[in-house]
Amino acid sequence: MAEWFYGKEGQQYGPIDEVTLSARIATGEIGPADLVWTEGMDSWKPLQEVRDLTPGVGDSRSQDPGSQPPGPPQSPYAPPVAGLEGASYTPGPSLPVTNGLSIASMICGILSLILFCFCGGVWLGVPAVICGHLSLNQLNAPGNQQEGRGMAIAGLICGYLGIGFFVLMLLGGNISSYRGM
Amino acid sequence: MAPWLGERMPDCLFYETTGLLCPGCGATRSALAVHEGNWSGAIRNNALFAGGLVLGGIWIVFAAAGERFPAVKGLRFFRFRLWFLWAILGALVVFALLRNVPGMEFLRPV
Repeated sequence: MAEWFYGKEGQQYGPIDEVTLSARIATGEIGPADLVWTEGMDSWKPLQEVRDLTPGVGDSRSQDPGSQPPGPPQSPYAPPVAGLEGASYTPGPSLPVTNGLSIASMICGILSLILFCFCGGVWLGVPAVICGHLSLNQLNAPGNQQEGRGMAIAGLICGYLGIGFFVLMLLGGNISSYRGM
Repeated sequence: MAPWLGERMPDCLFYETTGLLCPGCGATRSALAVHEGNWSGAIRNNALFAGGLVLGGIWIVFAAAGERFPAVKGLRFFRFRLWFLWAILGALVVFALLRNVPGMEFLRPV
């Protein structure tokens, strides 16, 4: 049973099997203009252009056996990007994937600015900075099509602010009299 | 005060050092007030925390319902999207600025 992915309103869903996919088409969750992808397709296609999924047609997928198949997806979250590694480059629509480290960096950075009272500037600010720099390195790597630069930078700023405020507290000499630690 | 928390809560180092309120200042007192059912006290100590608690609670219920019933269109609005993080960050920054300026004393914790 083939596994399918679909994109809707800028978000990617899946993998789901064909039965689930048919059910979601039937309920209208996936519309004719929404993009779908499965292994063997070289780019995302609107549902209405995928012949196998239109009602009445059999289970066999319409693949040209002569064409070179694209490489296998590296991860289930980036199938279209992995598909581009195949011999035939097709600039099909790809759903942008956000870099996970940039999300982690921003969450840690935000929390580091709230949890001052528990020294959050250090134990959340440091991971925010580490994740932010790792994320920017990944995003700057050639061929990376992920998003999340703004979030990584926001995480970095928050993280450095948190660390900076913690250093300020150390210099202020209040740690020794702190009864919460 | 809940007896198991002891007599004194940890001080906010940021406040002690700089004299300024961070967006989290008063959140513990706000949580304690919620624990005692004192919602006006909760809002009084940290309005953002009390409001976020209520809004977040409602949001999670609707988001879970949206996962369970994906065909219901109205529930799709509550799915997690990344701009929520920007909204949270923006709310924190605005709140932190507001509660430190004169004339906004009602945002300072008691």
